[in-house]
Amino acid sequence: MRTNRVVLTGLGVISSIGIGVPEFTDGLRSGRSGVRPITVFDTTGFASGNGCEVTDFRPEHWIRTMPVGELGRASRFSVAAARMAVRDAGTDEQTLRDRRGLISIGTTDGEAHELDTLTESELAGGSALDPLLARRAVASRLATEVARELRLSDVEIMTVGTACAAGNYSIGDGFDAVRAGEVDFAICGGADAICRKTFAGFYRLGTIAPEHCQPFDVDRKGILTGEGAGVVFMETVDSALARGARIYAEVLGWGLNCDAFHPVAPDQDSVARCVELALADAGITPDQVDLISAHGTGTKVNDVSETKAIRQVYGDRPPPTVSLKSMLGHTMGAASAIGAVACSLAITHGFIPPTINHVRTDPECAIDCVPNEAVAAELDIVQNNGLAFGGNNAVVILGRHRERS
Amino acid sequence: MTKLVLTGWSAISPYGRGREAFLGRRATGHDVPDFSAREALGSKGTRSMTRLTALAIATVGDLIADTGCDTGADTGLVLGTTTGSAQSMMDFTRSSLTAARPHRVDPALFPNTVMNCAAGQCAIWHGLRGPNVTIAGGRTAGLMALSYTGRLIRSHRAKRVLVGAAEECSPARARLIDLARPPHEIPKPLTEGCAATLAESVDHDAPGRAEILAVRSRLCLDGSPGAALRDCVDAALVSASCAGNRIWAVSGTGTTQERELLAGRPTWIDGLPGDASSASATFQLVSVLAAAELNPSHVDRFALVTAVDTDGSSACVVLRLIGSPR
Repeated sequence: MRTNRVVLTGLGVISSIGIGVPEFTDGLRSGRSGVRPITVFDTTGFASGNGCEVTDFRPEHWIRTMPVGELGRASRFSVAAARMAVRDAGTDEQTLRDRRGLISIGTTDGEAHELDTLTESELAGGSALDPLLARRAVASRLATEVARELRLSDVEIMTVGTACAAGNYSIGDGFDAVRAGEVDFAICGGADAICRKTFAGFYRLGTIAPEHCQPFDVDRKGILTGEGAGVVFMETVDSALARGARIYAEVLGWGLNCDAFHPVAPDQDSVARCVELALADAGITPDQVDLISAHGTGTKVNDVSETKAIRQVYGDRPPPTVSLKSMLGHTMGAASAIGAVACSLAITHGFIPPTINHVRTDPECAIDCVPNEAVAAELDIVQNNGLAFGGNNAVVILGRHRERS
Repeated sequence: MTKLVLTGWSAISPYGRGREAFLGRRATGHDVPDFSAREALGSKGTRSMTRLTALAIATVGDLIADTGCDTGADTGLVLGTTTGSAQSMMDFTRSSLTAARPHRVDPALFPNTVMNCAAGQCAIWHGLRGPNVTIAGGRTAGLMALSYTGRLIRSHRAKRVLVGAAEECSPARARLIDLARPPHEIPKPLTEGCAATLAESVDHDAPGRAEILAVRSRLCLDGSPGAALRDCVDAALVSASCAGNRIWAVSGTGTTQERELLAGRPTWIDGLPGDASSASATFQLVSVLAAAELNPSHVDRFALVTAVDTDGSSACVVLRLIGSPR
């Protein structure tokens, strides 16, 4: 089997702390919080209604081919982020048209916000329900519309619905496809939109924090729902070098497995196994890892079992372990994809994004979460965790690209 | 050389539960008859379970039992779906909108609203600790699931993968399909069920198995889905090193484009009658495997399964149905 080295040469990101690479990088570096009152749906009746909503997003600024009104909220995020990633990679659709590619977008909820809106109009007695809303509600369009926007026909198109690790499931699959030479490029990531369905569910379970998301903090109150998209452009290192592309990071490997244990409570041993699979695939040992971007939702059950799993693999001195969700909220299927974007930027610019809103570390989470302030650091290898509903884990390992003789 | 081979299949459909029922192909309606989560799986853990999840758990369970395959860390699951249970998603939102307080929703029903609920539950019920993947798609979903599966196995991320797709009949699914249907498409009655195959890499041929030679897909951009389908099939045949005239049987989703392109092929094999949405292509695939089983051959035969969705996606797989030499 062919084994190409695979690099990330383009990044696209839409988030509550910044849209586009420069603004997002600035948000990470300054430890910006994306929390604001949710306006996507009416939060009347909930005691608190904060979330990490994307504001000031003008889809028509990015989306050129597709009529924006035809796209659901999550598809607008995925299509715009994919456009950004392609542009950021310094390539264009004319060039890509002659090459074989994979387009894969992960998601938790697909277009549940559009389904919510349909349900609402049904209740309002709408006898004439909107066909446009039903068309926008199709989950697979998260990936299909990326291809349509880029006018790419000879591409394999996947929407991966593996919940909150879905971004890593997409990036990992893209890595495998490029590594084996099955495709020349892969446009992979994740997207989700804030919706009533998911907010109400987590609220009912008592897992929504009223104000801030405080991962690893002894006084944490839970998650905040977030939204956005992260998309990466992957190609072989030869292709990137040949066209003189900027290389953010190399994908060194990944691992995925399933707890087969409990729908929501992560299984420490199984998460640890997933990390070991990823490290083995990357051909590295734990001591070589400089930073972990944790799943870090800000619930006790996640944070404690995840940090214990990390210590199970890394021993008593694990590398700095941060949670981007302190800034971005839980962006669901986008989370690990935005995580991969953030890890690539951290490697490129030499800093560790902080875990904000942090006061006192939970003694049960014995890690250095880099509280509140970003720190400068030379990062060679970074681990990006994604843990999902259904006990689905996926871990991606990124490294600084170095010429090898 | 290591080959990606389908070594078993099972299905629950309007024909009933299991391989024998599917081989018999006698149905009275478009729903799976006499099926409920409780009856199929017992009362423990099924109180809040959707029909979709129960169909998937039961089918995957039957497939594991039929093939006797190992479960555990080396066994993965890849499941196609439209969006999970649309009924559960919309009911949950409705309960938030109509309750006295918007958070007075039933927490036991929340997991049913997540797209990968069925796949995750299959893993828990059957102890599948390998990769567990949900692929959202239209009628091509089962073939995209096959593609993801192939890469998992070729990249040594699983030794074997149970790969299929599932749909449940529900008023919400019917409403969404009716609303979104393009004007030119003739409605078909909705049908439901779950079909799954066992994919693994093996290095020797055995009769009755089917080698996956190529999976290809195309997106139609210019309003001529026939051309996209033709390109897709041509690319798959080239990749499979299989001349078009060697194809023994084809199974398509029943679109005009498929009928035009594939007219005159010797054997046409129908999938499920009606619209099986994201489960369409997997049901076509197992229909081909069932047909080969009912008409065994002494020589290898080739088959083509195509799927065309209203969203412009085309996909196909070329199979080598391994014969049993005299």
